[in-house]
Amino acid sequence: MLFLLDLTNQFHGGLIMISEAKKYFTLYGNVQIVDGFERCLIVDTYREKFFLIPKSLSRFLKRHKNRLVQDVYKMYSQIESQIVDEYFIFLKDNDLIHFSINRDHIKNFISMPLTFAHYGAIINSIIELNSFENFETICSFIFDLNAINCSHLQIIFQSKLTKSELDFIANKFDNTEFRSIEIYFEYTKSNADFEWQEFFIKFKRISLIIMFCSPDDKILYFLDGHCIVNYLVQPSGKPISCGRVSTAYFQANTSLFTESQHHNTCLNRKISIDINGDIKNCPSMAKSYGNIRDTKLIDVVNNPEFQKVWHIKKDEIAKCRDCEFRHICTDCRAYIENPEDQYSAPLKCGYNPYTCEWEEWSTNPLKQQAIDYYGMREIV
Amino acid sequence: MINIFTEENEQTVYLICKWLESKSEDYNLIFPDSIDFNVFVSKKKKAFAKGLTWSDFGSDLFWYRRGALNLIAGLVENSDLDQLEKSHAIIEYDTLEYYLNWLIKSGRNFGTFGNAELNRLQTFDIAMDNKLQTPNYIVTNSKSDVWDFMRIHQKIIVKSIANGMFELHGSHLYTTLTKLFSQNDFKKLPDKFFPSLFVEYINKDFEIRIFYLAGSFYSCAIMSQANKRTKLDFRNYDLENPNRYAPYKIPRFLETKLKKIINYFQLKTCSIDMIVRDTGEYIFLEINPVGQFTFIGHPCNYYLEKELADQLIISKFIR
Repeated sequence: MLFLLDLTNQFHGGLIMISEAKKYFTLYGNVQIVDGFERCLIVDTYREKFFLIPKSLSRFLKRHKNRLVQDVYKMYSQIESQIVDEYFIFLKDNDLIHFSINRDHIKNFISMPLTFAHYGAIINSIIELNSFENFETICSFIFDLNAINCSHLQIIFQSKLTKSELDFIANKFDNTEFRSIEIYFEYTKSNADFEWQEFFIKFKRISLIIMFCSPDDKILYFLDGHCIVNYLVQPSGKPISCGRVSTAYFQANTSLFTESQHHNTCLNRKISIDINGDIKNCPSMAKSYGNIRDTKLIDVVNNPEFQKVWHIKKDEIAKCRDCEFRHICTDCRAYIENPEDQYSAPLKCGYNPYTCEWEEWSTNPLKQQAIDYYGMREIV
Repeated sequence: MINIFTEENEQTVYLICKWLESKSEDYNLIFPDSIDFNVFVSKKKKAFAKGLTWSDFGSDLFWYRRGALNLIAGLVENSDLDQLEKSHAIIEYDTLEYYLNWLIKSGRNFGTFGNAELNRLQTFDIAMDNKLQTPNYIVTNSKSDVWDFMRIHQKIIVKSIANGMFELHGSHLYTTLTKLFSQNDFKKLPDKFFPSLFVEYINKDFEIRIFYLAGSFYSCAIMSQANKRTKLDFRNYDLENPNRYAPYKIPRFLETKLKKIINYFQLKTCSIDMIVRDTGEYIFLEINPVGQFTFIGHPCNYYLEKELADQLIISKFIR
């Protein structure tokens, strides 16, 4: 049984593919299908796009891939042919399939290997600080992160920063090899006339500045959009996306898609230091693996206990394993529906893969206990 | 110690080095036109150093990735020497370079300077010797030959005999991209002209860029045919709507033939360009021993920089 995509109302009576009728077709190897409970997702990791599709199209592709187009049509009734038309038009228009008169070529379009590897022992790091006064205490830790080829660094100040303090911080890391450094701090009026363009030209490692407690929400782009200054009204320095699951945070890229096959997309090779100097998987998590005063970075990184959460795959997490978005989603292991069970669904996810509906997570009666557990009542 | 000759700011080499670091391997990067190295040759010792660590030409690994070895060219160019003295200095250096290259070649290496550029016409011959299909082409300096060639082939293109240029001059990029040779171009052609390469234009289904590394082929299909801009040369990038790149596996018979050419030129690694005719045949275009590969490895998730780093480490122990 085939179901319409509901993308177009034009029907062509099985003739639209006449130009391709004598060709074989296949899905490109960097276009992946993720099956959900009720529907499926096509993830084009090359163009970084994703498309929701009915399960029948997923089955159609798996069944007919590498077949001659006219042979596919022969298997369906006249009425169903209209839907086959629609499928082919959708796949062709979005450049997801290749047609060829040569059967051997079609078979040579192999599937992309789904391996994930990274040269950095740590990929992401988050450092929370009370104020600029504590900055010096974490500097050597940051240089250690650089030495093990950590790619991304987030420094979150729960305070204001003056211009000269910001310059001092940026300057400190100019000779590091971080691919991106993000700095969060509280908005102050005196920073309003800051010359951001010059700042980003001078300090090439800095890619994002976020100022919370701003008078209004505003985004400024610099250097062809490579550098961003984001003013946020929100009162806290915690990234607003922290733990949230929403379509806005989905990423259909190769890196996340492949990492998701083997690792936890929230915590894999992530390390953080909270405002007390405690070293954790994520600042929002409770368990500490030592304090920077007396613990070496490398000892925590190599600690098998610390690495345990890196391996919690989406395919093993309740609800996520039935969700079509699971391999483009960043997950959250800090706030989960059942704090006793590491394999329970992310608390701040309102998506229901069994009904395919997005609901407000904070009012869900099943989540109230966990919300109280994390003491999030006033935040939600 | 792994010694890598490369151009500065080469992203591919940067990534390879990161992988070497992740495996705690020591390496040296040696840039052209720089003299921050020492070279020492005596009866007993033939060695090279960057910084404090000496590498022995007999036992340490050298890999020529990219860039000229003319380490002193700039030094000679900017000196007070007169023209005659300059040319003598360059001959002195070239002779030494020849010797160093020979030392590298006879020691542990992952490709040497001599392999940087293959001759396009020679490569065509070797490809044909190994029963690979190549496009029809002529090299001529006479208009009448071009006329005859145009009568056989509906469309022809003109290509550089040497490897194309790709150089920045100030803010301008000077490149030699493949160009269709029109009737109008023909009219403007004098009876005798500088010898040039004319190649038949082939209707292609798609292109394949193949990266060869230590016995394995990593291929990527590039759907350049659908796009008017990239129909002739995929480097004529369309940034708004990039061509589809997709993982591809070339058939075994093609691998066998290509391996013969690769062995002929004694390459450890190289990039190969082919096109697939809409009628199905694979047409061999060229081999580039120092070609870029990050741009095909990433869309196909091949981790080529990691594979190459692994091969460098293995090569430390193989002669």
